[in-house]
Amino acid sequence: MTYAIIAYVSSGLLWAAYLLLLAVRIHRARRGS
Amino acid sequence: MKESIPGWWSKGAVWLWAVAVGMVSASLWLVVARAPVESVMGPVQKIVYIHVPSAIAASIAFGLTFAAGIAYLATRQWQWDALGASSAEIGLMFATVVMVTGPLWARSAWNTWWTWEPRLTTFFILWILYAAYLIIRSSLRGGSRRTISAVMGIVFAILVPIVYMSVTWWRGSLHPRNVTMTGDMRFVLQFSILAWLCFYAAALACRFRLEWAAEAAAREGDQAFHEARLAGEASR
Repeated sequence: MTYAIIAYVSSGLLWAAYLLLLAVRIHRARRGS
Repeated sequence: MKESIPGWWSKGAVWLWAVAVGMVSASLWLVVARAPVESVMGPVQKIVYIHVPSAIAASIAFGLTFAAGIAYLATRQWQWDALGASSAEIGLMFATVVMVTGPLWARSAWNTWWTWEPRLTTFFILWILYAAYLIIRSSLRGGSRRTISAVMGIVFAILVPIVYMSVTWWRGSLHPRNVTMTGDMRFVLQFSILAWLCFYAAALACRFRLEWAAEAAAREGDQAFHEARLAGEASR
């Protein structure tokens, strides 16, 4: 059970971090245009 | 600042995100509430509902990078290069989820975090190749960046069917060939696959937006450079 929770939470955190970084990159690119 | 991205794209992306978030939330609820606990492995088997959809999404993403690479080499339009690079990055994220969730499941099912068996080894090579794709692409500038990215996207995608067939071609594979499920377990897996594919589409639209903005910035930069150059020549 613990491994399943770790798998879902770590995947969620990974996606959250990536999407946050992507939002920052888009914001910077649009400000540069 | 000039808005280079059409309004319909932004609105479409918002709707796509709404559907994707709704479906992924529903799939997580189904995993907790409806998917039965597997009799041998127990609750840890529920990792399948994120592991398998992520592997499928990664394969589709790398397949799209392959197709976009061919389309770019044939047409030389920047949109195909942008689509290929965007899909490769999202695909690498899904592959990373597979690489994180796989060992957690393996520790419980096989009593080891990692073993160099065919499916795991070929997938690890695939993960390294697409990480290399993004590193090499980011280090290149100019026209060669797009051409080399397209070639890498085509060549690296050859490994996708090898990963799929590895459990059949090589002996000694611990990884199951095909997952046969029935009833609620099958329904939840199918719904999870659909949900994560919607998430892939939404993330791809978002990542493509970045390429679009970067392209617009580069074009405006080029235009300003040419105008400054013409003004300099006229004043001589």
